[in-house]
Parts: sequence; structure tokens; C-alpha cells
Amino acid sequence: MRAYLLRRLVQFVPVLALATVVIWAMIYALPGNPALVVGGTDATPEQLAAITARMGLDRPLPAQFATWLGHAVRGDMGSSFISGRSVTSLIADRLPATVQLAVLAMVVVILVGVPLGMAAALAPRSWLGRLVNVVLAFGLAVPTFWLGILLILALSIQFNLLPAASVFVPIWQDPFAALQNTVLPALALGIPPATITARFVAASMSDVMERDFVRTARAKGASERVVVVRHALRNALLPAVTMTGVQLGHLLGGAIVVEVVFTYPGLGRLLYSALSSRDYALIQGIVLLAVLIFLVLNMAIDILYAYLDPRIRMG
Amino acid sequence: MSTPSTEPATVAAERVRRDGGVVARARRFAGDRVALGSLVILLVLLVASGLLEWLRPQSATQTSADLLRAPSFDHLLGTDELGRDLGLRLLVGARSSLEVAFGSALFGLLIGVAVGLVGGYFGRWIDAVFMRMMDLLLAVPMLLVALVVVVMLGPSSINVVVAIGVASVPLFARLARASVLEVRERDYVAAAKAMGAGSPDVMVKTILPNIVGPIIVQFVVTSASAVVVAASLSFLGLGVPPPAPTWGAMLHQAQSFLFDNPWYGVFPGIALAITVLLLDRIGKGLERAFGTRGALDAMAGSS
Repeated sequence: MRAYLLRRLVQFVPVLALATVVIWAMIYALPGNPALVVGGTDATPEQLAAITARMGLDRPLPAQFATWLGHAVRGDMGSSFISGRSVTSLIADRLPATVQLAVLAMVVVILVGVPLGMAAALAPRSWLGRLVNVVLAFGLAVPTFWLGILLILALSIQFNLLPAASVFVPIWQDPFAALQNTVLPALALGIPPATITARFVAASMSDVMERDFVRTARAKGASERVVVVRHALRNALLPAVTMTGVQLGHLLGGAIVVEVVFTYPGLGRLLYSALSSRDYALIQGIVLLAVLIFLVLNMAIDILYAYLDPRIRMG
Repeated sequence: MSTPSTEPATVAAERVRRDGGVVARARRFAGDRVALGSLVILLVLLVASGLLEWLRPQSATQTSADLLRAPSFDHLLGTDELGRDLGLRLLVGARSSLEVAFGSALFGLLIGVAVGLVGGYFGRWIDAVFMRMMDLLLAVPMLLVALVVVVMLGPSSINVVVAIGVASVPLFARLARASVLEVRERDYVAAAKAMGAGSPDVMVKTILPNIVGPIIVQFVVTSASAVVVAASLSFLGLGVPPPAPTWGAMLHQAQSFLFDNPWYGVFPGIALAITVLLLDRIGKGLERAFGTRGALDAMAGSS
């Protein structure tokens, strides 16, 4: 296990280094002079010269990168040139909203995905099983932002149950208002990946139901409910839930559009407004954080897999 | 990884003759009613979309006084906030949607297969460098990669194709690399080398034809994800720029008028979902016809 950990870490470092170079280089890849990008087109030559000097644009590129990286490591990603606030504080303001949304969406993934998958595996020929299979086929084809619009149409406009535009209320401040505001975006974000989780649960459940220990449990005279819940489900869930971890990454990607649909004030919407106003320092900061999260998440899942399945360590 | 084939050449040749061959594969694909039907519907949609633009180029931009109408005989799927016919706009949008999807999948295919072939064939540090780049692209969701690339290049039709193409490169690179590693040690590759074939020759003429099947399957699967990513970009205002009607941008507009015309927010999404489903079914059919196990559920991470 230690050798595997080491190998995986050795793989992680160059990928992270590559990511930082790409994100740093973003501003240089843009057409025109980076000082012009920061200063705007109506900056005077004196202002441009000042920006060039302040950003160190007259120094050699490796030195510029080293300075940028040094600041980034200490949490200084520069400041937004729209609001003038530091990128780190802007991100810190929005992060809790996205975390709350992602956690709730994961709850949706599990609460929707596991029962659907079990229904598909245990009663494949019943009307319920057939219905589930149709839902699962559509699940992959429905984009999250359209699902969000459909949910708004159905639950906000038709029945006026939940607000169409969400605000962020921390769940420990007012659990009811928090749920009221976060449930719709969490459903939009969670349902498409839930159909994928359901497929995994279905596959691993039908696999487990064929195993000897299930036959043994039945032979001992255990009721079907006990066989499914106590014996089969436990063994079937482990691989499926690990797989759900992989989806957390994709779920965060979907958060960009879902937060825009529901005007939910999280990181995704911050990125959206930064993109619309070409606020490059802010874009760099959010993308760097996102990439870091994805890379760490991927590594954590790989390590978890290796821990659960020793065969991977040898590969 | 590399398993040298122990199959005698004559047996191998017989196997290739039996289930290889374009005709045999086409026949197997045609035997799959759902896949064939999906392909036919998709082609009909494309032709209809092209004809409409050719015969009545104004149909998608023609405004009228009927604003935000529900579906009726005059406007089968209703109208938008400028009185434009939604049905016609959706149909015209089909072509641009599929153009972007196929274009970006082709971009990903060309770059990805080249990267995978070269990395897998030469191994060593070239492979290591390429694969770390692919790891990075793969770890980040397609949409985020595409967003960053579009911001760097600026929004235009070509740049959207490139952006989604870049995001789909690792899918092809991994596939091509794995296939190369598998066939690299086979007898027929050794034979080609022994007869004096150079590296490019071995890669393109000997290895490439053997991995065409999985690559075609991956192409269709990638197009399906690309449809969704392209729509997401348009929805965020960074896709193919107006006045070209795109489904994503239509849904973005529709959000302001959900009270006036709820259908406006429904139909473009149905068009999207149907397109993705059709491509998915075609991909499944090809997968069966080629006897390959593609990564269809790579779709999982598209949006």
C-alpha cells in the first residue's frame, strides 16, 4: 500500500505543476498585451507602464511565473479588477454556498439512485422495473440546466411550492429556509448523476443476488426482505457508493450551469460573472481552486479503490 | 498489458474474414432496429434542417407580431419573444448543434489518436509527458476545460469546436494508446518491422487499421457529450454567437419568459435530449457491430 501511495503521489505532482503553468499562462495566451487586459482599452500609456511594472511584465517569464506561484501558494491570487476586492476573499464568501449545494445534491444522488437501482435489479420485468429502465435511459440525455428549468416550471410556476430564484441561507442558521432555497438546485444537480449511480447499484445488485451467500441465506429460511437488506444490499452498495465518489467531481462541474439557472450565489455563478466581465484574476483563482479540488478528489478515489481492492495496487 | 498473440496466422486470417469486413459489420449494425432507426431519424433531421436553411434562409430569424404564443396551427411549437417560430428555429438549430458536435469530436479524434499512437508506440518519456497532460484534461470536467479554452480564444463557431475538441482529446488518446499497447507486440507488427517498415509506417498502416472500430464508437459517444457541452456553453453565453439559433441560447432566453410561454422552456430541451438519445443508440449499435466495449458511460461527466 505504501508503494502505491508513493507512486500515486509522484503522478499527482507533475499534473498539478502542469495545471498551474496552464492557468498562469492563460493571461498570456490572450490576444494583446496583458497590461491592456488588466488596464482596459482606455488606459493611458502611463497607466499601462505602471501596470506593466506592477505586474512585473518586464521581467523574464520564469521569474514572473515564480512570483505568481509564490503568491498563489500563500493564498494571494491578486484582486478582481471589477470590484477591487481580493480574489481569495471573494472565493471564501461563495465557497460555503457551493459546498452546501454539493452536499445536498449528493444526498439526492444516494436517495434517488439507490432505490431506483434496487428496483431495476430486483424486479426487472415488473412495470416498476421497466419504468425505471426508461427513466435511466433518459437520465443521461437530459442536461442539468434543462432539468433545472423543468423543475422551475413544475414546482415554482405551476404549484408555487419552492422559489425559482434561490438565495443562500446557511443550514445551521435556519434549516427550513435553507432547504427551501437549496432543494431545487440540488435536485437539478443530483438527479442526472443519480441515474448513473442507479445503473451501478442495479449491476452490482443483480451480481450479488446470484452469489452463493445469498443462496445460503435463503436456504437457511431467511425472508426475502432480510436476504435483500441484510445480506445482499450491504455487499452491493460498497462498489456503487465508491463510484458515487467519482461523480462528486462531475457534480461540481454541473454546478456552474445549475447555479446560473437558479441564480444561486455560489462559486459557479461567481465564475460565470467573472467570465462575462473578463475578470481574469478571478477566473484564474476559481479555475485553480477547481482544478486542485478535482485532482485531489481523483487521487483520493484512486487510493480508496486501491485500499478496497488489493489487485489495483499491483497493476 | 501487451499479450503476444499465440493464434496461428491462418486462424487469425479466418477470424478476420468471418467477422471483420465492412459489409459484415454494416449488416450487423442494420440488424439492430433501434440503432438503424436512430441513424435514419438523425439523417432525416439533418437533411430537413439543411433544406430549410437553403430554401427559406429567413425562417429562423423572421420576426412576427405573434409574441410568445403557445403551440398552434400557425406556429406548431409556438413563438419566442420576438415572434420567431420556435419549431423552425429548433430545426435550424439541429444542424449547428450537430456540426459543433461532430466537428469537436473530429478534432478530439485527430489530436487524441495521434497523441495516443505516438505515446503508446514510443513509450518512455514521450508517453509519460503526454499521459500527464491527458490526466489533467481528464480530471477536470469537459465543461470547465471548454469554458477556459473559449475564454482564451474568444467565442466564435470555430473556437467552440476547438474548445470542446480539446476537452475530448484524452478520451481518444487513452483509447488509442491502450489499443497500441495491446497490438504492439503482435506477430504482424513484428513482421512489418522485420520487413523494414519505419515507425510512421507501422503506426499508420499496420496498427491504425486494427483500432478503427473502438475509435468510431468513441467518436459517436463523444459527439453525444459534445451536444450537451455545446448547449451548456451557449446557455452561458459563450457558445456559437447569435444570430445563429442554438438550443442552449434559446433555453437561456426562455428563462425570462417562463410565465408567458412555458413551452419556450420545454421544446429546446426536448430537441437536445432526443439528439443525445439518438446518438447514444447509434453508439450502442456500433459498439455491438464492432464487438467493442466502448466507454458509453463516459457520458456521465459531460454536463
